[in-house]
Amino acid sequence: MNSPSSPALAVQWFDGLHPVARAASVWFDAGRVCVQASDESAPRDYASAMLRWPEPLRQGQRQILLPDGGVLACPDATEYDAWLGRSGRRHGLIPRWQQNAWATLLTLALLAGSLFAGWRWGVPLAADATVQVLPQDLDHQIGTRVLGELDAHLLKRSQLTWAERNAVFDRFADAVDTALDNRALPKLTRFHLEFRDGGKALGPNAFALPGGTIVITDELVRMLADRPEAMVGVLGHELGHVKHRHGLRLTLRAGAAGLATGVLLGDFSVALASAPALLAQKSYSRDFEREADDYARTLMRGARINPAVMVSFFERMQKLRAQGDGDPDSNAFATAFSTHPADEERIAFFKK
Amino acid sequence: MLDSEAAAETVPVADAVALPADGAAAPAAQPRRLAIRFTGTGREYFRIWLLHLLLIVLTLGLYLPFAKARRIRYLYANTWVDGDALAFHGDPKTMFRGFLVLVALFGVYAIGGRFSPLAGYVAFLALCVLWPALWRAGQQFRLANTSWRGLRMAFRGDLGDAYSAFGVAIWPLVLMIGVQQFARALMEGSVAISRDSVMWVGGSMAVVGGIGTLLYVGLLPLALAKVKAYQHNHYQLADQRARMQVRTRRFYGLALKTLCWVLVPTLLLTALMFLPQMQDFYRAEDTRTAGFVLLCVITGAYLLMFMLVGPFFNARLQNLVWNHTASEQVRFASDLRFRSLAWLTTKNWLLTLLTLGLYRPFAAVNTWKLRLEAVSIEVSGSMAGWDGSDSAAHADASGEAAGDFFGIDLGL
Repeated sequence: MNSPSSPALAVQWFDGLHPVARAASVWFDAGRVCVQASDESAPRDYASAMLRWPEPLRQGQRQILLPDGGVLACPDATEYDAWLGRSGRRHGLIPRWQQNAWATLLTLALLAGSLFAGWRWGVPLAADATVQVLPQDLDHQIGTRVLGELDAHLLKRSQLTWAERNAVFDRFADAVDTALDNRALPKLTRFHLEFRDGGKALGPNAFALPGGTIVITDELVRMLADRPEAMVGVLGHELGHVKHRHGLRLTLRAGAAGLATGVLLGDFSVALASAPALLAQKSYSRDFEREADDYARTLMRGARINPAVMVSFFERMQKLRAQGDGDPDSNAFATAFSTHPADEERIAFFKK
Repeated sequence: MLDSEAAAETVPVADAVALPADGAAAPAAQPRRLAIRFTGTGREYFRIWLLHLLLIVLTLGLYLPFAKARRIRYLYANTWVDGDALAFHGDPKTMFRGFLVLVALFGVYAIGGRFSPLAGYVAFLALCVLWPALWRAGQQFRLANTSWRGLRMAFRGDLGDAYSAFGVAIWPLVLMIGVQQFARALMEGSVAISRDSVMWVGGSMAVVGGIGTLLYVGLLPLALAKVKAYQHNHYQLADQRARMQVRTRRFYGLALKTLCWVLVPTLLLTALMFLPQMQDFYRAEDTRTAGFVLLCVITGAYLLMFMLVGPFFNARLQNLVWNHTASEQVRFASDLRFRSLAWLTTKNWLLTLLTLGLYRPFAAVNTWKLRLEAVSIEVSGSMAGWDGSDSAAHADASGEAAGDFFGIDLGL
């Protein structure tokens, strides 16, 4: 046997051809690694970078994987670690990081921080930037398709007279014009009103579809028949959704959040992975509602309407809900699962 | 029909027992039992898992294949068979390539479906057509990169067999989606037929669709049998080629028993809700409390079902396939107890929920340990003569990642 230039380690050498261990020793020689089998006359040598090195596991086997398919197994882990040290080498950065308890704590903190940052800024930034690039035409296509499906399954033809519908439209269009004249709104956001009978399922309701279509139920028109200015506020809120392309942005944000939690938790449980995704989606949705409320208030002020008229709308909706199923939940827990901010918060906002 | 087909493709189990043990090479040699030990610990794996998670988040997912390679190396280095651990030779850079291919494929599927249903269906069909090839590539890559005592394993299934194995599961699905799309087109009037026949055609299509769905569910155990047979009949280590001999009807038996585990809690719960005592409870003034209790009961039953049904199916399936897998000199046996797996799963679920997911690596390690150590290996004759010079060429890694995307269990 040649005399190694640095300390040697006794290993079992499997040549990849037969499942039989041969005694061998291994040592470093400059940038190369020499392997000397006990039944061979000369050592084989490999470029050090071509080998795959084991990590410092507590119980796992230390295996050096050779580029020719051979495996060097080290029966004693502590001996391997000592040999590595005596040869002036160390385990890689990632294994050493893992072994350190403080570093692991730091990992935990960094992970929590980056998950928070991803939810708060990362996902919104990425999704919104994508929406900027997508053509406005896409909003129209999606809106048309969604309205078609709603008409097929949920909505019925409006029972309102044309005079009633025109009154709603005229009042709102007039408010938008005034707000534009007063420079409260920078430019006109195109919109289009659709009146439908929402039945018991929807009740008094209004919602904006991507592309500018705003659907209003007959029940809402009747509920606010004596409060046309509150109706301007409700429609202004929906126009806010249209202006900021909330529909598309929420779809993309929810998709990104779902993808992220799916990658992180999906292989354990799909149900568990969907919970944080759902919470994230609700929180984005509440952000958008606040933004839409802000747009509605700006529009109302620009149209010389006191935003406080919205209070009567919220009160009537609350009364309606109270008749339906007990008193409305308004605690923080309920807020976390809700798509809208709590009524108290919104009332305070419009009173300001 | 199913029975004759089953008889044609499998032989009685007794024949498998009578496999010759390498003739006279080792005359009086008792089969030697190789113990499987798993030495990984939750504490240790927690640190690996945590750092992987951070790196995955910071790289926006690009670290995933590298994390996977390290995870497999950890599992293998801790899986000891007869005193020597498995080794994983997979190159993370190769796995990264496969990962990119899959991201592109699933990305088109996910994004296409969001904006246009038709694009989603087209992508889904493409995925169906590619799936058997991807799955086979995954098996090839994983096994070709797994070694024990230096010997590489191999997966010898060919492409045609992959398509016939998965065909039972895939073709009815493709057909059903086609019928559904056609019916939709009819209803929306984009396919022109006379107004009178629309109702008639639409109605019969709904009936056909319903029957088709039932038939498809009935075919699932056969599909599982086909895939498992394809998988277990093509494992190879040196010159030892595995064979699995299970009658298809045993898969049907397993499916029926699993169905019982779903039905029993459902029926009990339904009966409970119709008890006379419960009727008073519903009429009580405090409807909110009643509703809350009801919600709790239903959620509890749902969770219970998943803590029992999943483990039952997984434990029995593992035992079924591995107890009937053998090669000339090697026999496998699996004695995974349903009770142990159900208990472990329940514990894992609860602790994972309570710790907001931080218990997950502990749960994973405990499950691997239970499932691996339930398996034992018997070898008859000498292993010294095994020749691994015919080791498999490396396959592309894209299939490997596909298996992980869909959570396909590679068994051992």
